[in-house]
Amino acid sequence: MEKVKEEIKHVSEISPEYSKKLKKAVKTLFYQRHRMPGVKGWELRRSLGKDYLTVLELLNVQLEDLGLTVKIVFEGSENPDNPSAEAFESARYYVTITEPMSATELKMSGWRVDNVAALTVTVAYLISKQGKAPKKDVEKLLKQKFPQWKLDYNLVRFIRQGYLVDDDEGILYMGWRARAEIDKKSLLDLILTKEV
Amino acid sequence: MSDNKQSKIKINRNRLLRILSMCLAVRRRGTDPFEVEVKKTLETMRNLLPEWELPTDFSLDIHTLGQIASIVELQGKWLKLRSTSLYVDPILIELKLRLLDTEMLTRIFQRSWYPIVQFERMTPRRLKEAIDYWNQLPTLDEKMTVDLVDIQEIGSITKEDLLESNIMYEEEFQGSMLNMWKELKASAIGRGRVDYWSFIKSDTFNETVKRAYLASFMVTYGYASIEQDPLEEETYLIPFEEPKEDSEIQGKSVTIPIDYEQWKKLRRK
Repeated sequence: MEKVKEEIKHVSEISPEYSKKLKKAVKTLFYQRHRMPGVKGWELRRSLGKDYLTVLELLNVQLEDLGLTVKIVFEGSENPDNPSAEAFESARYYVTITEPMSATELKMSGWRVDNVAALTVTVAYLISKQGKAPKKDVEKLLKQKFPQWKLDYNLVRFIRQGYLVDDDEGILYMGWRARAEIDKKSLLDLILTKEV
Repeated sequence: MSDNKQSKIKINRNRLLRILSMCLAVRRRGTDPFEVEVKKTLETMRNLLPEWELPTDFSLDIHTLGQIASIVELQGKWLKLRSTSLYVDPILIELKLRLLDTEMLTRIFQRSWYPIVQFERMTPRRLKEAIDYWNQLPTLDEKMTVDLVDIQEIGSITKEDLLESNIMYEEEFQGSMLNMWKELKASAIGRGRVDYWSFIKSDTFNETVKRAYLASFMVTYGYASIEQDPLEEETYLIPFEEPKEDSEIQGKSVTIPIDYEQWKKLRRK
């Protein structure tokens, strides 16, 4: 608590205006405003002003010590190399943790081990297929280890939670939550390097 | 046109349709774009071109060419991805996934998962609304009596309610509001303001309510202001050239009821 107070004091010393904007940014980003978590860039610009990206950079410095970061998820399947101002405005901003959870913390988050495994398989498969694949292909893969009823239940649940998106033509895509929360490279690296 | 020629054109048209459907399938399913042999396909199309006579065939030819161009673009992206460290052969991943057990998969997920941190909140305003709601809520006994009479209470719906019910999406909402703002600015040229009722009036009651709803958010979000003339009983919308930020928006609340009868009167005007 003392540390947080020191940080706030430090920011106030930098600039009272930015200090005010930082507090506003914390409220905007942390407190859920819509059904979906996160805030759109245009909402942040409206709330924090045109220099909202600078405010977020400052906020990131403050959050780093707390093990948190502001994650930007751009529209489209891949993050652009040089995002334009419009891309930043249409992107969605979230606060995520910076260090992976421990096994105990994961258990405490309420996830069942088999559901986590199903999500891992689905997301990893979609990443390897550049973010989308026919639903029946995913089901075929999952069916090897899960009964049909569980598979249906899990896919519906993952879609509802935002990890997956499906369309009318039976194609599954990576959802906004998977893009915000899962480190794709780390996931694939770990799958490939894991001794079986 | 002879039957022979017609039949030949039909066969050629089917060949073109096959190319088109192959391109669409590759794009849609995200499979390897190199499955489409671009050079060979273009040669086929070149040979078919002199056969076309009808505008619809030329149109189909152009459409197919457009799809082939997008396949070339996909091939470029595919190569770019393969040259990055993120690319791994999907078959290899699938094989590994089949071999890993549940425990291992969970451990892998745990080390790649950075969940979103977000809190639900209760604001003083919401608390006040809740208290007001509770205070005006009739007791069950009262409700039983009231229910005998058909009284319709005025309800309220928020933007979040619409989004939650999937009646409207965030992007759609924002887009509709911005379009309306542009429309308002255009209508106000030379006058500076527009009569509220003539602006929101539409051919259907639903559309009128939607426009009234979007107009209210246009005011809340600082794209316009609302002005009431109590003597003339007129209400005006005044668009801003640039949206104002939260701090610049006047904290004024105006209630404008709208119902079906009122809309019918508006239509008759």
